[in-house]
Amino acid sequence: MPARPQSAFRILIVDTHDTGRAPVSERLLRRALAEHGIPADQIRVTSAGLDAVDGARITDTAARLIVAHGGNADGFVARSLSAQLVGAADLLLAPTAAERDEVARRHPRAARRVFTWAELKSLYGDVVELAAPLHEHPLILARNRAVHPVPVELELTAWTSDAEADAAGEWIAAGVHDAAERWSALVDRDVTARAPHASSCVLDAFGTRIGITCSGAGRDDLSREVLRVWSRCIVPSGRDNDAEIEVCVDPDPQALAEARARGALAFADVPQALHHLSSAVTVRAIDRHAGNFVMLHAAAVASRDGDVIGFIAPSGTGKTTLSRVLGAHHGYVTDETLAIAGDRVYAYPKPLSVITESHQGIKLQWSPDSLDLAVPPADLRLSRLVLLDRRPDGPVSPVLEDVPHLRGIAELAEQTSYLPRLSRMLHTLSDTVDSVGGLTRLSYREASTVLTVMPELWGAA
Amino acid sequence: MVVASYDDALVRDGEMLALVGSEVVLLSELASALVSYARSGASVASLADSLVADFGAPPEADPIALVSDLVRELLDHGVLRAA
Repeated sequence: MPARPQSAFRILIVDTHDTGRAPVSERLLRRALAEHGIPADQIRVTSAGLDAVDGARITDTAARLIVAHGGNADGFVARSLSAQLVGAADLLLAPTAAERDEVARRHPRAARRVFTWAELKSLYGDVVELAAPLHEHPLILARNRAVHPVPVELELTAWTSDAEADAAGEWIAAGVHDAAERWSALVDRDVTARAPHASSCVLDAFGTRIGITCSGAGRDDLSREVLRVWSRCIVPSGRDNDAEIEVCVDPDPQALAEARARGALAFADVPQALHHLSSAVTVRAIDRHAGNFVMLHAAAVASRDGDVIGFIAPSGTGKTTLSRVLGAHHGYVTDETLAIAGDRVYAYPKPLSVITESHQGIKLQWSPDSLDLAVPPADLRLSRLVLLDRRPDGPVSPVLEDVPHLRGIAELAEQTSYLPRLSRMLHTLSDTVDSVGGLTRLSYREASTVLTVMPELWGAA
Repeated sequence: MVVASYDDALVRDGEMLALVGSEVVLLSELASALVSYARSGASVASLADSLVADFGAPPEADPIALVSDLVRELLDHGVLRAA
């Protein structure tokens, strides 16, 4: 098993002078990340100002806000935004649309990596779950923004009074906490110590063994639910695992804080824990296979002979719904990540995430067994790759069409994890596509209608 | 002077798909030819000459100005860099 990628995810917070909003955001985000047990070498946070004077000191108000929210204001000096800083950043965050647009105007290559705080929150809210390595989030969110621009509703303009500054401080503190919680599941780190009386199991995610330790007052309930919803991924323990994840469920905020500090994912209830665990397991496995497997954002089903059809689509565009429909008749391989090595497919029959009205956007996890999805054979071969195009105004009867090679590879590349780490990069993707006779686009409106074209898809396989 | 700057590229039927960092850029036939001519470095003027020879002179437009615009766009995408 290869080592996980070590490069940090670099966040650059930008405002105009780098003496007020940006340093407050920088220092409070650093604090929130530390509270969630995320080491500074995994996510690095710095700041700069579009018109900053290098070496300028932070304002007294900004220092007061940082300290009021538990951060450390010492030693901060402003920096001007340079092409080098921008080039090194994976994600740039600006407080207002005007400052975001100015960053993009001065540094066009950063246009798809710069967001306002409010925009970031809204885009993540639309996706609900983003089970992709953190480095890939900016481009995924930028693509979503291009399709559904976020209206400018909340701007963090420079404060002109203490009351405005206090409100800004509250807003930043809440925002950085949300971000840290969202990212904490996706950042790999060594779990330093196992909690006493922990319950454990081992999951297999396309060949990666991931040990799960349940802790906290809710550990028994959590452990039972993990075993239930991950039923098809449980493997015997006893060998060395490739990664470890501790998940804590406890109603006591102090217990949660202690768990986060030691690197655990920590939540007040089991549904939230299961929701974040799903992304955590997926991203750990993707990280471990970077450079070895072609890993696509795709659902997949298999025939009784083990021929696999992959259905490629961005997060939040209908893969899980399609998996439920097709998996009732064909072997359920995955609803999220299709892992391919040569022509071989590694199954990842993870729980399926289903949004329910009663949980306010948190998806509930369902076991493929509870949903009665078919079990595929053990040996799986890739036989067909299909680009999904689901639209509310799509054709009532699904339509299949061949996709020109380069255009298809361009779309496929955007749904491929760690493409730059594959030894032959685009050529590996191209070979994979050629091995299954090219890419097909499937346009449809309702998932249930896709069953009607399955004979045609299998027939061509 | 500009020079082609990508991590990997596929070429098929005269078009190029380039990988720059984590982003892919699908180039038109004209842009693909430009990037090919810039593989070892080229000036805008020499690129314009090569493209006019291949594709003909653009009607009612200055080829140098058109190629300059295209070069700027390719620089923004990182497919070219200043040499």
